[in-house]
Amino acid sequence: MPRPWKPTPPEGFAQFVAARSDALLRSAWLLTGDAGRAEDLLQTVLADLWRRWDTITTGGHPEAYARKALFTTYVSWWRRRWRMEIPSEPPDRTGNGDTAGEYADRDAVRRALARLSRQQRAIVVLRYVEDLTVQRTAEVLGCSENTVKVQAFRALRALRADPNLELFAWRS
Amino acid sequence: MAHEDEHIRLLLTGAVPPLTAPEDRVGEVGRRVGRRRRRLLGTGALALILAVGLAAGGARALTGPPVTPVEPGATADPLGWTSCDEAVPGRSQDGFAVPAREAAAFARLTADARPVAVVICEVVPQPRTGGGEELVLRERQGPDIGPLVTALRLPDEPKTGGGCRTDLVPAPWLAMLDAEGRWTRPGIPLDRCDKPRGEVGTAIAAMRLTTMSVWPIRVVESPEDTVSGCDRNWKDMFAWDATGRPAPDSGTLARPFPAGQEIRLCVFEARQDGGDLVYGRVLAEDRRAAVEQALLAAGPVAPCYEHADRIAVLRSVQNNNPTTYVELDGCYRIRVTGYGEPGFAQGDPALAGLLGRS
Repeated sequence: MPRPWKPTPPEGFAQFVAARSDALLRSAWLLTGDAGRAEDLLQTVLADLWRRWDTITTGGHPEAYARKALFTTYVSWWRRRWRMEIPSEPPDRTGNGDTAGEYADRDAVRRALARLSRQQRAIVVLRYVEDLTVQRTAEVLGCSENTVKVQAFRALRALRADPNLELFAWRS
Repeated sequence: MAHEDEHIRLLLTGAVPPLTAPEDRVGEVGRRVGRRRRRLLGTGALALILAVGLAAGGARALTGPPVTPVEPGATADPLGWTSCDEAVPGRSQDGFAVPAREAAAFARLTADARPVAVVICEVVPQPRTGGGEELVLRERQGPDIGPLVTALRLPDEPKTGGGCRTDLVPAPWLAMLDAEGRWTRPGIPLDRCDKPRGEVGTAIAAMRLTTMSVWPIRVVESPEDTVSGCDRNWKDMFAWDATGRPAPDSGTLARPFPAGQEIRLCVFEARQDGGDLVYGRVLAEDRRAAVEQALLAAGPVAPCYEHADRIAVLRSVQNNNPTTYVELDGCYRIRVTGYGEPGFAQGDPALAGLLGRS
């Protein structure tokens, strides 16, 4: 008869969650475009981190592990749980000083990102938000550098062509 | 980071709404871990089947929805030309280079069209009065348009196959003016790789263009930045330059400063979405020696999850390799790049004290 399992977090885990979750959640939102799904993705990654905590903290870099897991989890099997890329209900409508204009702007970005494939979206966030090189992006996603270049090109082309996103600066 | 890259970053990070954390995120995660454990205990065989299914789902996840094609905008304005700033309101902040296919979608110059001048709108960096650099919207015009008109009337090259580079080659934002001052944006012919035909760029490069107006957009580099030699902002790379596996070189930083070269110190505020320069300077010889000694004496990285509020970046004034990053509070970690895999070591408040004053 197995003993009842008590969910006591490993040492340091709660501090890590408190210190790093906000930044991870922002990346998760850019990937999923929805606050609920972002939290779900983050918790999925944190649960994985919990299970491997001792091994990961031996190297001293749990955040790097969590960040990589966030993107690879999203790209590899997120679709299975969330078949709809664009939520039917407008997400994240909050009353925290979020004006109608701000909401419209971010909704335009959200919808533009939703038109990209998961891999393209992950690449855009890694390259332009996380500021990783092509090489590092390829390492995180486990694909070739050429794939990163091609998918980034296609993603930017799609974003630039988005009629609701006339926001890009084109270097002359 | 290039101007366009920075713009994309701001666009994306600015789109993230205020996000509210659950009351007990750790507890929620713990419940997930517990559920997974029970599932593993009770349904091992089913888990195996699911793993196979998920792997297949992951492969399918790599393909995405089709991309919406570009819709071209208006191609002509019967009213007279005013200026780049007024002709396309709102674009001055966003640049004027155009995706090649969008530029090609405009109507081509007809044989009976009689343009007399070209106007080119572009966003370019230029030196600031008093030092530094700024981004400006610049309007240039030129009357000797014969070669350009000839180039614009070329057809698109046939798509004959063969390799094409995936680099972005935008088309310039250009308009042709007629004798009455009316303007139109002509379509730009594409080469076999869907990039603007080279003849167009060659014709523009050969023209004598006169700068008509310049509108400042924003400062790229202030005089203070020029003096300090530091970038204006910085990105938190501590969060990325490790993969969770033990770092074999942890605590054994090799040669943080190149021998005989001056070292520049740049200190940044550290925020989740980047950070701004606080100050920068070239280290005096005695201070450089003290910092280098402290770096070489640094031990292995200790587990720590605090967020640093300030980061110091040290690199040679001659080049960027190696580059040393030091957290001035929080975990006090040190990261050195430039010798292959990044090296990590543990700093301390004493080292931060050496670096944390201008």
